[in-house]
Amino acid sequence: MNLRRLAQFIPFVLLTGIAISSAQEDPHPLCACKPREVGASGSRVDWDGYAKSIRWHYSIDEAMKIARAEGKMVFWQQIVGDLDKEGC
Amino acid sequence: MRTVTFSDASVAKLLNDSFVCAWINKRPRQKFTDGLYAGKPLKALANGTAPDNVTSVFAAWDGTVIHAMSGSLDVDAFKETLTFARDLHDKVYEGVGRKPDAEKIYAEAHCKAANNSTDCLVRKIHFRLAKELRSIREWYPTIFEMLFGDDCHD
Repeated sequence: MNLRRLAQFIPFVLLTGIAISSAQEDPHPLCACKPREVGASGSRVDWDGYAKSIRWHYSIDEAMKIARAEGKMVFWQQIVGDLDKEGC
Repeated sequence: MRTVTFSDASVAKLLNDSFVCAWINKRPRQKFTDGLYAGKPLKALANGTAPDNVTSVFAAWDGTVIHAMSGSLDVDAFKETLTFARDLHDKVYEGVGRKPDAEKIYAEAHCKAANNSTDCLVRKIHFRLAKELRSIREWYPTIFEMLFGDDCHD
């Protein structure tokens, strides 16, 4: 391969690499476990009722301060999406 | 979880009574259309669905993680997980401080729970948790690697 061809080839390889890496937003493989059960407990609440009865805080630091003051534990939900919108 | 589990009145009461609740969006760049599932005959997702998207973390006031479970949890599974965390917390903490043998109690409880579980995901998580007490501040960046770094076997 002469230098001119090599010079043409390198940008192609770099661009392909960038495209592949940016497409892999979550590099972690999924666990192979199957879902535990079908027909889970609980029933759907209408859209307006989503999670409204739980007092949520956005900041874990704020939650920890309140937990210390009130003698409670901290529950931290890590999700994809926002609790007031769609998502997991 | 929000449409079923977190909208259940008994779950809300358990959380509000004993916990201060916070949430974080793990991948804020990922966008969802509002109303994506509206009007569809949804039921709770099967337990363990989307383990990389959802994690429920239960910690003491000082941020020490007592229990965590990945994947969607229905009402019964969430209550069971919450109860395990709360009971274990009460065994590990005395007032605002940890008991002298807190780490031993913690590890034994998680190992016992792992051995009693027939679910591979739950077993794996309990065994992983049993290895060490970690702070919630150390927890966040490595949650996926901690729980799912190895192959998962049925």
